Amino acid sequence: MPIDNVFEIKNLSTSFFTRDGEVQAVRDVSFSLRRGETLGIVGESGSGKSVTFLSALGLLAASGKVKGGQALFNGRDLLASSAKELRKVRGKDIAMVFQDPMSSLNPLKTIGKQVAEALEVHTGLGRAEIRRRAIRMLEAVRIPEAAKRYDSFPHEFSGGMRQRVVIAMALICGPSLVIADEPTTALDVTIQDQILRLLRELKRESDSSIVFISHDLAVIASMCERVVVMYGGMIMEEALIGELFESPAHPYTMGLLRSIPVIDQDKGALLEPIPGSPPDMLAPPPGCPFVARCVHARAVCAVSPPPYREVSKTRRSRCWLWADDAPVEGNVFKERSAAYARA
Amino acid sequence: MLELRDIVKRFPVKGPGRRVVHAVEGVSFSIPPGETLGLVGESGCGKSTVARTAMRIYEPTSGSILLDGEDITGMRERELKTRRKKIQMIFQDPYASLNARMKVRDIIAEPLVAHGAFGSQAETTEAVASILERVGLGRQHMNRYPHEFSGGQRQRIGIARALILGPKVMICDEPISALDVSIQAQVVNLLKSIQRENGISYLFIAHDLAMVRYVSHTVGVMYLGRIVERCRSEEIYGRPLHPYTKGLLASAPSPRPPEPGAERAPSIEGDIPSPIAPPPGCAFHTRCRYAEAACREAIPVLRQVESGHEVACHLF
Repeated sequence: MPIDNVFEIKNLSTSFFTRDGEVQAVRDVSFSLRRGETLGIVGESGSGKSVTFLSALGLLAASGKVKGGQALFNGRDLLASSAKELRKVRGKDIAMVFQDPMSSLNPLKTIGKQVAEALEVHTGLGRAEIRRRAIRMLEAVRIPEAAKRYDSFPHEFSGGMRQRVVIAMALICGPSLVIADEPTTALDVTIQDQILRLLRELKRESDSSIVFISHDLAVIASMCERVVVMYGGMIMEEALIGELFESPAHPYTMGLLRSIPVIDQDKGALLEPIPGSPPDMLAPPPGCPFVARCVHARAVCAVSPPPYREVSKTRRSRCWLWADDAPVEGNVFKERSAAYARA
Repeated sequence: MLELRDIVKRFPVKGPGRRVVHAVEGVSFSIPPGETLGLVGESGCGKSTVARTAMRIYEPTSGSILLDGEDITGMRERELKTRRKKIQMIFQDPYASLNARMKVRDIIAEPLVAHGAFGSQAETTEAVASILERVGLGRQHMNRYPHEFSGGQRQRIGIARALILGPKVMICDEPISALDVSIQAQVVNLLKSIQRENGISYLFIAHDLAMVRYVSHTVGVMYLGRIVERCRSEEIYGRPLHPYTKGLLASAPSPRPPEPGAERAPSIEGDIPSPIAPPPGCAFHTRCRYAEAACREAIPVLRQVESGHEVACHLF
């Protein structure tokens, strides 16, 4: 593995075993994250975007089981690590920020104590030094009068301020990887904007890598350099953020972009929704998970899953239309396929 | 078709003191037939309280509600019941708003039964089948239960239930917020095509600015219980006047990646104040970069500053 990959998921598959049967939440997912990079993972509910990371960090619910694959953090496979080893990594080298700040905070402990906790667990620093660092961290996430607010409880904070505290908790040990799972979804748009700006500023000041998970392409676009698009437990495509919007390389992404209004949208032009609904992960189609909703689907798409192949130096796509023997007629990717091949 | 006149709604707060939540503080609007008024704003701005008051789920503290030209504010439940056929509502959470133990046929037929509008069993079944087809489902779905449907399909069932009495006004309270992105456009396009066909009026409440612009003819921006700006929807996004509207638009991440090195428009600092103790004067002055002394003292009234463009701001 090249040394500049801080995190790499290889052929990960995870299922949940429920009363109704096996829910195949993640299927053959692979991607990597370079040092200092911000990678977006975009997908709808049930696409497998959160489960991918919960699997890697050993945080799956009891019914969840990793069926195969690797999750390499600085070259070490987290899936082969013991629970004790994982506890040492989580919160120190890998930190997480979740959607709902209230569920990440203990309502009975002061926010200062909660920010300081990771330092107490993972370092041998003295109490005064820990307090000093926690206050500095609260200042870094722009909590006004941080020293005074150190002894406040979560309920005394607004939703936006709570999420700042959760970010401070995540960053206090200087993690090399931060996983932010829908960190602004529960917030109002002006507060979301404040948190996104804060995250961008903090990013500039550190060399941590960030994984930013969201259902909102606009939020991903404002944060990330590269993006992975998930659907039905699989990666549909991977691209630089500009490329994704400019020339999506998967019919699902194309449909997604056409179904979102832009603020200066021509109002006469109707949105083009993607027909149908996401697949039932208890019985996902044997082929491409998007087949039932895809206007370009062919016979092969329903039968076998498309290979996840490199279509250019920066992009990968999981679609039969990129196959070498794909038909030329009506193939939206054929021209680009030839152009990429020449490049 | 639907008109609200100076609606005020305050909720008492439990506990010591006589504190109240100033949810809505004097909201007026009217929606003509076949048009959509979009209300946008952040949590606590009162947009959902406006919706529920218009339905008379909440009784307004003061002000009046006119439906089809008739004042329904003080109407007793018995009289009101006959008017409810004209105004129906769909909700945010399609999982919570359908009775899990009822079959789809009975969920959709329930308003007919409640209003004594149903005929024979066969007629009812036909009415349900036809409305199901209208919302993009089918007759074969009638005998299934809500859990057998996806979120988008459940919202279609909710729309079918609201449509079965042939209402003239539909209140849509965040009808797409709980749906996946790829499903939102399906539901919004369905609402638009129903409006084109039968000239229904919508009060459309959402926090997604781009979606509100897409569905609405007129947009009202609310902040802490008041409408602070209102105009045709192209105007509000093309030429916003109120500092709050400008900040709100700047805060919404653009669904296109920013140009490298592009300057981001200034957005809004600070938190939304509590509606229990709203700031004096203009409620937005605590977060407004243009606030002057007058803004801290007098509440600005919503007035027309250009043709069809109303703003409540001392700067205008």
